[in-house]
Amino acid sequence: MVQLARIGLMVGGGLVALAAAERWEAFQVPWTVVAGAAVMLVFLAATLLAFARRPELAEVAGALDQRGGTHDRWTTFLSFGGGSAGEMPLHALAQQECVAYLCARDFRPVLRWGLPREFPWLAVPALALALLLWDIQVTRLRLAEERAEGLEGVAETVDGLQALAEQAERASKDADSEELKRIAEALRKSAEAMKASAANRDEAEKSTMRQLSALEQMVKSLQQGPARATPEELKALAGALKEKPETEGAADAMQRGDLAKAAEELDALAAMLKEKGDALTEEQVEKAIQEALERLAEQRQLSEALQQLVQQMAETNGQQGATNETLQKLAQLLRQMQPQPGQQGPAGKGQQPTEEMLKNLLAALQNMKNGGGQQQGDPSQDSSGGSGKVAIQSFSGQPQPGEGDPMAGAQIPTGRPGTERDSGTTASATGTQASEPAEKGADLALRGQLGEGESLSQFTPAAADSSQARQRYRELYEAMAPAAQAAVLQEEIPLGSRFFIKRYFEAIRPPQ
Amino acid sequence: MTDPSDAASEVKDFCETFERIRAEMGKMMVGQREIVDGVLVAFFAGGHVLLEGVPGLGKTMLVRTLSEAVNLRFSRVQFTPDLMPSDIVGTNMIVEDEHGRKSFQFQRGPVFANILLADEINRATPKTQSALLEAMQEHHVTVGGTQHQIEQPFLVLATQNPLEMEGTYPLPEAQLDRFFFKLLVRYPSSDELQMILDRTTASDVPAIVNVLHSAEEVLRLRQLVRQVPLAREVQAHAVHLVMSTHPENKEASPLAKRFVRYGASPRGAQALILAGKIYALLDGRYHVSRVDIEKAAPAALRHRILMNFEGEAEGKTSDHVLAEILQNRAG
Repeated sequence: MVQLARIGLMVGGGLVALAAAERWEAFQVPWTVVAGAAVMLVFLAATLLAFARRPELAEVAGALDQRGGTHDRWTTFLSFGGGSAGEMPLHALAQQECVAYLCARDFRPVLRWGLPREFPWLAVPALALALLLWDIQVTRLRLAEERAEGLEGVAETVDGLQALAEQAERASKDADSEELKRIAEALRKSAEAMKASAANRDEAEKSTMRQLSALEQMVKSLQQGPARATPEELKALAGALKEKPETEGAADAMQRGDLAKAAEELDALAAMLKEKGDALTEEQVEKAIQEALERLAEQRQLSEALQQLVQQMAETNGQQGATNETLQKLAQLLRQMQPQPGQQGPAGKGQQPTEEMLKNLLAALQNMKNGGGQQQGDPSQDSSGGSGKVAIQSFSGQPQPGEGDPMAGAQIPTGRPGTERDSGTTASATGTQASEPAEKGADLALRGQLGEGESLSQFTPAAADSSQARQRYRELYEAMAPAAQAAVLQEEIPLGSRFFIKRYFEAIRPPQ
Repeated sequence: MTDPSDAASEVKDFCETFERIRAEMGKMMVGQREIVDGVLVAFFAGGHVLLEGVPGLGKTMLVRTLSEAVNLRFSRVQFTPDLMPSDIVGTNMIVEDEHGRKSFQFQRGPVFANILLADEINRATPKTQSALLEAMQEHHVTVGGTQHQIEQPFLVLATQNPLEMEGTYPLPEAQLDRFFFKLLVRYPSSDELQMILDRTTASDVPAIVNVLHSAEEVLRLRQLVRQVPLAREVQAHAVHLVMSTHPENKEASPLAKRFVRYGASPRGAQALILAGKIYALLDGRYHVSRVDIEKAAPAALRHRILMNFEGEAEGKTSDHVLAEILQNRAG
């Protein structure tokens, strides 16, 4: 029993340690198997140990003598029991005396039966184990609830991402674009990652923001792509270069749209200038390109690619070999604009659907990130003629023909004191319910009452769905708010109207 | 003695003899039961006794009474610093016979007795103290190259005064070890003292009856004592007790480890067993138990344990060490 209690204590300690490890999420324990094995182990080990450490007969006799106060009669009897008692008369006498004494005495009270003192201590690991298992159960339920909450929190975003992924995949097939295919794959992976990491609501939110930010960065980087010049710029540049005989060949090729040929011509010119070392010709070529770019700059804003070229020319002005570098850069620019094999149509036109898709994706991701509208169907199947583009027009000065007036029926503030009832901050500038969200794919214009003076109209693009363009709207609001504040402060506004103006700006303030 | 019934009657005879001697000694000795028992146990075990106590406690009276009760020859030597070994063991003297021829003749000293009282033994020089060594252990003396056997039974009862240490010579360890028991004679209580006064001042000295009539009778009883059986485990217990007094032994008690210089000798274990056998017989048993061994332990081992300097400085005695060992055994 003592061995049983001691081994039970040791195994109990082990089980408590195991439960503690599970409690702090080190690993999971199959308790049915472990508990059964532990009980078997305790009994088996106790039996083996009790057998191995069983006391010898002399030890038992000694213990009985000590407990019973027998003056070592058990020991003596055991010692002389099988010996030569007959030869030694006192030995025989001693044996007889011991037997007579031991037979006359009742040793049952001496033998203590009962649970060993270690036994009650088994309650300690048992209690600790029970508490830990209870705590594990409670923790598991709580974690499951939190995970469910987290999954619920990311469900809409995940659905939105999957819808976007399908849309991107379809678009990639239509446009035969590897970029869109990659994006579709990334969207799907992000959706899965969100689901996997949604341990609770906080984690779900953080994971959502991380994934959406990563996707946004990805789309933005794809959107930027290599710097290119526009076809119009190339046309104008060709016209300017044609005026000089050295660059006439390249200009002709550019006008024909043979950008590869034009690049070859420019490379050949650069090689010739480098070989001859003709400073005069070099200066003339440099001047021709510079004048062409200046002329373009006067007419319109240069594209980023040509701006880079101008900047390079300014940095290397007067240096030997600078013209060669300029020519090589221009040739490289032309080669980049050369249509790739498999791409349909002239350069620039084949990428149009992809770019638009990237824009839409970016807007949708930004809306998701800022808690905007969710994807509610296939955005490509919009009713606006399949352009896949939704523009929310704000601050529109003129009502658009054919569009419903969302303000119709709403109470328009008169600006006179006492005519309107102050019912506190409302969802709209008119104090009524907010306007219904636009149908998917439809352009929406918010119109106010036209006053005297100039008005400004600006389109705020959003995703090709019914979501609101919150991010762009917030940017617009923040840009315009100081000017509006300044205007309100400068103008002499009647006291009765100040409340409504204040209410108006409160109403159009984007949600935090 | 091959018949158990004979053995039983002899044991009975031993117990009765012991009781009668004790009763005779009780006529002269008031109280001091442990001392009387200790001396008798040593007497029947064949050992010598060192009695330690202040003067006037009846040590000499005890020895004299014992000799009278057992009807054995008694001699007494008062140990003084100028006592010579020859004064104890005897010497060769030139004697002239009737024809005028001179020759050496050994004149026996007081050691040639059955019971020798060595009074204040620590006052003699070590040289003289050592003269007793051979007699105590070998039961003979050698003078002038000739061995002279001492008649059996031979019991030395030495006394020493623990207070007057000036001008004394502590007994050497070798000689201390030859004493079977060292008994501490305590001062009598008030009642005992009154009884002593009544006996010694109001009436005549009571006559002591001879219980034993010959030395052979004593030797027979001694032989009986040695036949008392002893279980191996009980003997191991005695060994264990002795080993516990050795500081270098792993079984040593904490006090022994700290304060003991040398533990008890094998003679200590022999004394434990022999005394245990007598205690067993007196208790009506034919075998020795651990209790008998432990009962004999203080008297048998206290003079065989040498304390170190730290122990003496701390005021610890061998009795403290033994008390701890016995307490540990009991626990």
